[in-house]
Amino acid sequence: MRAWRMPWRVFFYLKELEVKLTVNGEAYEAKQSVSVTALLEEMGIGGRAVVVVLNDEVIPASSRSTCGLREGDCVELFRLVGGG
Amino acid sequence: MTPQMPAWLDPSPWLDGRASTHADVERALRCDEPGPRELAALLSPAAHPFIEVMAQRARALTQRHFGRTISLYAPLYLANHCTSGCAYCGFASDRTQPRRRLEPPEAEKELAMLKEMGFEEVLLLTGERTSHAGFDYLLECVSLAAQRFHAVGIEAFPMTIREYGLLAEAGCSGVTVYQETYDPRQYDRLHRWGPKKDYLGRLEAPARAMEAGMRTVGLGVLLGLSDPSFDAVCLMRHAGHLQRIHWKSGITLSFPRLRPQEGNFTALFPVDEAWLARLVFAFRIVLPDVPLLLSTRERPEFRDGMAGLGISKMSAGSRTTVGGYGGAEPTTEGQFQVSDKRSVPEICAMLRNRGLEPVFKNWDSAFRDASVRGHD
Amino acid sequence: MERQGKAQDEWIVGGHRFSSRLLMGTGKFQDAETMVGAVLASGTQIVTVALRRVGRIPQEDDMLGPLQQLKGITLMPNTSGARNASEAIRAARLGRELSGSPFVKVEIHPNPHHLMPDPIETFEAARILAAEGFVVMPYMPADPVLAKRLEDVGCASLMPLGSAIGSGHGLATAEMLRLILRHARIPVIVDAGLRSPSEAAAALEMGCDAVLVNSAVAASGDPIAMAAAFAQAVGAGRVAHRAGLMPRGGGTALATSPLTAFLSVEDA
Repeated sequence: MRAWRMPWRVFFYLKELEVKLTVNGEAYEAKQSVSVTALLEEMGIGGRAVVVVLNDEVIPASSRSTCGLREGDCVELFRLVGGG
Repeated sequence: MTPQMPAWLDPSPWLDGRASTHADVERALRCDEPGPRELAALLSPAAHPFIEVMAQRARALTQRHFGRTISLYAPLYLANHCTSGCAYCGFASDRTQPRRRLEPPEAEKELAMLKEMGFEEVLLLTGERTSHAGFDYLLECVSLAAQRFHAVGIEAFPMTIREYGLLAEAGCSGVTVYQETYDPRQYDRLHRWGPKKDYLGRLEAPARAMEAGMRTVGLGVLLGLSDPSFDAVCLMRHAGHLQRIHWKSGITLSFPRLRPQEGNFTALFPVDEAWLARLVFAFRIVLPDVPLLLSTRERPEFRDGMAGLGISKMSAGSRTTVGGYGGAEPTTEGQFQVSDKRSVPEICAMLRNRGLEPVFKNWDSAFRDASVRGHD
Repeated sequence: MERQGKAQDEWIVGGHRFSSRLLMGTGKFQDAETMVGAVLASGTQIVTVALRRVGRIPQEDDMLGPLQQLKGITLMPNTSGARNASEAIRAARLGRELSGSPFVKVEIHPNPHHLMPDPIETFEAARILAAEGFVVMPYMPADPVLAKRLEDVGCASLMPLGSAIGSGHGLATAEMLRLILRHARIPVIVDAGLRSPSEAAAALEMGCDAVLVNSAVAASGDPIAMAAAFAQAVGAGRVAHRAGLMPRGGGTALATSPLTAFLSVEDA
């Protein structure tokens, strides 16, 4: 069977969905940029108590599902851990 | 309408009516952080047999905190005008005596005399605020004094924060306001009329002075007006309250004892020398680093004995008439009788004989920031 | 005294009443179960927690979930890791988002070896956070003047160190603590350097309002038992302070020549 080659248009379209972000100081290619909530799900920390800081602004929990991400956004995620 | 004591002053938790015992006194003497309860024990009758022990402890603590020095200063009465009617005071407005104030040139002469006598610290006194000797007059006198003396204190009338601030900028480094008695009922009775009738206004004056940046405030009670133990515990509470809040300023304490003077007001709660001595020792023990003052109301031998046993600061060569250092006969009567009439050289010789060093200057006013006389 | 609540010897900080005078840190425990067990055994009502960036690998031990289930525990984020005031302020604001409480322990130690708190950055952070409505609990050198400055800018308590974090040198700063206690208007909580329950008792006997321990429990042989021991010690120390320790011996012997011979027996 001949290998199916993706039409160029579809290939570039799919590539655009991957958004380059900085997460906690490291480069990260997010497959989901629709919302912060989606990003957290993708990272596997959707259900945890974290505080989200997007480009130095705290995103309250209530706004996460509607807050989208763009190329170059800087995301920091914090949680409380044991400490003195 | 008798004024109310503020909660921070109320001594009743520590004066619970239970007489102190021998054991209470011993406990007080060994307490690491003595408080009002310990002071009350040290002033109780049960502590009288401990007076020598207290004297020794007071001497050791005085040496630790003040070395073997005694600070000397001179009081200068600027005016004896007064509108208040304090039952115990020679300047009360119903006492007939010539009233006058020092005009600035006279004040300058008196200050020059005091400087000549060796003083570097002067305390300027007036009666209550009057049109003859009010704030502006006082400010001018402070400025004159600050040009010559490294420390200028005032003992006048309660003022506003703004007024204290202006005085501080003019060079005033200390404000003395004795509450006289902390018992509101007695206070009300004894201050028959005039501005001094305002118990709370007077009580808050030291805090206002500290707020304005005054370096030191002097607190005190006039022994004889009320139950002296009550007043002593209140004085300690007052001192502690100020030290907690106005932590950048210093305080001093004084315990003038009502003495006979013109008008013959008799002390309602007379205090004898032994009790006064024990009061000084007790305060030295409970507040080891607070300077304690002794006035010239007391006889020379008593002052000699107390120097270094808790007392760290004294007036010398004093006149309680208006001016009076210039050599001319005073034209007014004194606020009280001076018992210790010795000259400055005599006092200094006495102190040196007792192994104490008379100190006239504690710090140089040249270090003070010229534009900001107070703090921050 | 103004710092005490009325019922059951409670103490008040930032307008909140507490009955336990033992605060616990949650760091350095081997696992969440031990940590939670120790917190429960201590009877503590205030627990410090740290702020960390979430790793992309999500399998980190979730210490916090169980803690947040416990009733009656106030979480107090600390700003440890911050090297200056602005980092601490940022951490405090993030911490508040997560803890839901206004309590913050301002902890700024620029030197990662001795971990001594920076007085200047701490003061600056405390000043700003207090103005933002935080209940500011500053970890500080045991300095009496700094204590007053922190009071003046609105801190809810003072947390002077007993000795260096983790050193176990106990109340090395005892003399300074006494000076702080003498004129403090807000609760004084000794934090850092305590090793044994007896040291915690000593802090309370001296007059401190509370203590905070972490390493002493987490690094002990049996943290849960040790936490219980600390609770007992803190309780004992407090009762002893209120009861009044017996006076030290000695000091009332008389010298040979009396100092008070000059006093006259006269009518006033």
